[in-house]
Amino acid sequence: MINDLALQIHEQTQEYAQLQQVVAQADSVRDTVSLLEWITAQIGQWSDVFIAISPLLPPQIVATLRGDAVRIRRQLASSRDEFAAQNFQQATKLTQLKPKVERLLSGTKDAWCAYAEAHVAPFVELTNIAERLPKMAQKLETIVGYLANARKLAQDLPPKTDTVQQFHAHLARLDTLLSDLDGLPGDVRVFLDKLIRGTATFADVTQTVFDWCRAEGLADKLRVARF
Amino acid sequence: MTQAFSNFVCWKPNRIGAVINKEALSVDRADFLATHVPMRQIAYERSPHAVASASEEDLLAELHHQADASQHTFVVIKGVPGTGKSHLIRWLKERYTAERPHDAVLLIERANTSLRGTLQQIIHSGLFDRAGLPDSLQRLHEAVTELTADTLADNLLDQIKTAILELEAPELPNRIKPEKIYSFLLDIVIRDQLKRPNGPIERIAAFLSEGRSDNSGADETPGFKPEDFVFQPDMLRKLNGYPEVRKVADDLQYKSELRDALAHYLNHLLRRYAISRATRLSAQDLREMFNDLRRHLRDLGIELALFIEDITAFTGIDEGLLDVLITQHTGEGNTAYCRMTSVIGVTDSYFSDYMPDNFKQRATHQLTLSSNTALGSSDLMQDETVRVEFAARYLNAIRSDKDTLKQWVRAGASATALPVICDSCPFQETCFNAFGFINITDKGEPLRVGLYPFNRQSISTLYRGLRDSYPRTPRTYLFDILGYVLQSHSARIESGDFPPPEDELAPAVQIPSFNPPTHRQIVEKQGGAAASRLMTLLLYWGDRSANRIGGNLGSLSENVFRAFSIKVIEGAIAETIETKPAPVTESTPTNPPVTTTETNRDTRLIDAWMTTGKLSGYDRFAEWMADLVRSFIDWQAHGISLEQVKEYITQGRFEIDGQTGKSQRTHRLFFARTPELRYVLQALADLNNGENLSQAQYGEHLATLSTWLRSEEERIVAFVREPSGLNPSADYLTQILVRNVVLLACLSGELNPTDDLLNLYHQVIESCADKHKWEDRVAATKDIYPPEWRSLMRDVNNQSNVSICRRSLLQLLNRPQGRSDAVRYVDAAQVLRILDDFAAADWALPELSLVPDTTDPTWSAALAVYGALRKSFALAVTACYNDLDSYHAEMTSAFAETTPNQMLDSMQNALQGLRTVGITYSARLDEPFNKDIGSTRWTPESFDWVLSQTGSALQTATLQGRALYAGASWRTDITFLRDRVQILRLCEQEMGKKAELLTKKVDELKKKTEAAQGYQRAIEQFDQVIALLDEATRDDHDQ
Repeated sequence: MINDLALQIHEQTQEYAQLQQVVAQADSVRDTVSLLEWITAQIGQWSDVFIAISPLLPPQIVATLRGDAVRIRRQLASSRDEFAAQNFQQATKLTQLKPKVERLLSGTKDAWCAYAEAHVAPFVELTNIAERLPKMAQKLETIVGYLANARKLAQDLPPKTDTVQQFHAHLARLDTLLSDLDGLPGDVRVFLDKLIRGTATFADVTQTVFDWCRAEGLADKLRVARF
Repeated sequence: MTQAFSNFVCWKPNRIGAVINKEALSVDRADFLATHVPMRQIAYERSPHAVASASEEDLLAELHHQADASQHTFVVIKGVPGTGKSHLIRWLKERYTAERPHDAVLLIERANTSLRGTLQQIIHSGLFDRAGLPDSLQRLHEAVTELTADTLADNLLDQIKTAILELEAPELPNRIKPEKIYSFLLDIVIRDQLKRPNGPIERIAAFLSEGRSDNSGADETPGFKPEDFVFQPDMLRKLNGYPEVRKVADDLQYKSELRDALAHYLNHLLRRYAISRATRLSAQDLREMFNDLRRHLRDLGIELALFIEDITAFTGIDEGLLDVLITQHTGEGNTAYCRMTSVIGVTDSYFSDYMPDNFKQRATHQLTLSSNTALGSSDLMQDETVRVEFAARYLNAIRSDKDTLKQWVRAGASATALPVICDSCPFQETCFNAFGFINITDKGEPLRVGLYPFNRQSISTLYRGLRDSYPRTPRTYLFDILGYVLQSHSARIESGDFPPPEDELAPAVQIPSFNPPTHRQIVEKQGGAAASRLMTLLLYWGDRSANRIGGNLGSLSENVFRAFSIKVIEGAIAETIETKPAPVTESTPTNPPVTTTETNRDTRLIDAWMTTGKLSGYDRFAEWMADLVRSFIDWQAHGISLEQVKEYITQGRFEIDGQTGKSQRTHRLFFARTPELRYVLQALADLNNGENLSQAQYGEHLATLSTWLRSEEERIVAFVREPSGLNPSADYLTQILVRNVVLLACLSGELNPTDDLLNLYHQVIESCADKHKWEDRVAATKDIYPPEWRSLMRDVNNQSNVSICRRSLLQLLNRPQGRSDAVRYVDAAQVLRILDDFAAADWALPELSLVPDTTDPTWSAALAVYGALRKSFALAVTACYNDLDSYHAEMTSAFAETTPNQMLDSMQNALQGLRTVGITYSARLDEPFNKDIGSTRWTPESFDWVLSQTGSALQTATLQGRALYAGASWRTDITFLRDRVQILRLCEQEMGKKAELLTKKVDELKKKTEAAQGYQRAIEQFDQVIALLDEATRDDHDQ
């Protein structure tokens, strides 16, 4: 009994000694892991989106963003090597890396937003025209909904690649819904455009425009206003 | 003529009682005047002017002075009973009457101590007849009639009951509040109890109506006494009426203070109300009667003089009388009264307890006859001359016939003409020479009165020897000394048997002692049949010695002995005392030699012992006897040890017959009260008190002691040798002691196991001579031996029994060679035989066949130790073996699955591991491996050796074998085993705890290593993010 106990204690003390050594570095490891988890999450999101949108962006912007990402990667690789060499004090370095990651994400976002806004703008104009045309009234709500969704996705970095696809799907749908407006005569389109902006004059009311208005039932709905 | 002065009775026995009478006023006037001894010691406590002298003549002159100055006079004469108040008042009355014949004089005697008698005296005085006051007389007659009535007792009781309602009650305890006492007195059983024969009501009624024929208690104030309310249980059981009555009766039984308070309360009711109501004569009536009388006498120009023997005679109406006495003849409303002189006698107790303060303050003269001496004593009797004069005058009156004295009175009773019978006695000269005489007048021709059958010395010795319970008053002196001796022993004088034995002469007197005390023995030896009379004569008449000086023995001349027909003995020849012839004068006998107080005290104690049978101060005497016996008997010759002598020859074991205390010793030697022992005690007292004894006295004492020792030696030796009266075999005690000391030596570890009897014997004897304290031996077993063993060691040494047993055994075995007891020659054969028997019985202790009932230290120690050993020795050995068995089994079990070597290695590694990880443990766990602790260092070999030895011991089956092992090697082995087992237990216990602790700590660390596991996770995270970046920055994404 005593002998067994003595043997047991001998083994326990050995294990305990080893554990004691590990436990002494635990805080540093925990901090490193914590920072890495954040970076991983950010980069994880960025990388998918970047892969998805980089073909859509201007090459020079893509090159800039990639350069930033390569520098971040280099620093992470350095830190990883030190960590693997039992230098667990990597929290400081990783903390310094955080603004760079954030800048990478914001640069990517800005590039995306520019791209998306540019693609949404034509549909905005068409929608404005559609809002004034009675024959588009039935589709208008749908059009406005898609337009809003597309504009919303254009305001922030897509969280995932599906979002980019979704954005393009919204644009495609708008295009379909507003296709009826594509065959309008030039005079009418100019006139409607000026009308929306409030700059239309009698000079813009050509016969074509006049006929189109009568045909579309807009004659009694438009007023002549003196400046 | 000298030869004829023998057994002579010169007085008339029938005159003794007539002359010596307790009541002065009952004595015939002639006898009274013939025996009157002038008062010379009257102390004035209050007087209207300074009174220089204190004699009775001066007091009489003061009365005349007051009368001549027409001053009101109220004289109160105080004194304890028997101091002569009545005598003085009667003498004053006689002289006052003779010298103021025109005054109306009334003497009121105590008259059989009854109120009725007192009233009858007033009726018969003729004062009221002469004054023509029929109403007053009628009231007195009616009162006397009421006092004679059969219904007086019931009437008194009813009046007391009524008084409860009529008088304001004093402060009373709650349990006897007036309303409760009212019910109490209503109860028929209580009334019968109070009216029982000799009960309080009968006593009070008797005082009022008849008085007491024997004059006993004449000075007592009548009333209830606390003891009247002590009731018998059967009487209490009859109380079936009111519950509160039973409650009062019960309370009275248990509380004496309640009885005191009730008696006081009822007396208050009695005196303030009941008596006057029962007699129909109130204080107011008495006051009016005397006021009428004084008015009448005033009209006749006559003054009134009242001489009242004792105011107590007026109990119940006394306040009325006192009011009369303080009423003056001057002042508003009083001028119609005649002047009055009154003299009353009061006891000290009446004066202090009953006489109202306003009356005390209005007494014109307040005197006392007992002012300067101890309580209960007369001032007058302090003077020895007065005592002798008293004796002479009474002896002369008793010798005289009544007619002769009456004739003298008729002739004017001149003091110088008093008839003296001695003048006509044919033996006058011889008698005066032998017994002395006194001149009883200092005027004219001397009146020489002989003191026979007393002398000055006997008068002095008898008076001084009065017991404390007797007051030292003239009454005691006359009645209990002079009267008693003459009344009781006159016939003995005539028959030649006077004086009687010392204890019969006068019971009121303590028996004096001889001085020197040894003279009693001389008188006893030489006096023969007359020894007891001779002793009385020498003790009272002589100087309390048997000194023979010239022709005198004990300072008494041969004529004294001849007068009582006693043969003169040789006595003790007092060589150093100058011989002086006894003078024929009034001089006192030779003073006794001065002796120490201590001698007197011891002698008194011895004398009292012989007289009363009770011996006080017995411890001193017994101590002296023990000293004597201890040093005079050759104890060795009787084969008695000094221990035994020390034990049995002590004061506590010597019991003297009649000693006032009882010794606590079971065995005592009784010494009967015998004359021989008396002389032994006297001799011891004299010798021990360092008296300046003569050679002859030394010789007598030593002879007495020697004779007594010879007669008592055999009895004393037998007592010391065999106090319990049993008869055990010669070596009975030795056998017990040998067994005791063997086992004691075993208990104390003084025996090494051996099978050799001689070796055992040597060890045992050596243990007996051991100088170590047993207590130290007991202390050395602490924490080693089991409680049974240690308890037995303590038990056996109760009263230091161990050393007594050991010492006594050596003494018993010792065969002295010469006088020294320091060198011992031990009888080995006897011990070896006993040891052999003891071993054969496997040290079994059988029940003793004989247990002497003794407190002897040796026996007591031997029996006590034997008893303790018999009861507990085997149990103690068993307890040791139980311990051994237990430890041996535990140790054996510990090595059941491993070797000592393996186990020690494992333990050492475990302890090292604990130290490495910083877990502390008991320092004791390191002991086995500590090189500095020497013998406690554990080696595998020592385990093997001890387990082998103890295993072998456990195989021992005999008590002797086990006991020897338990007393010797057991200590070492058990210590070894116990230490190791204890450490192993501790080790097991601690290691169990440490294992639990380690498990817990490892778990905790493992929890903390989740962070450590984060290391891997961190690496993975690094790799993952780098991979993501690699993936995102690949060039082909652009295409």
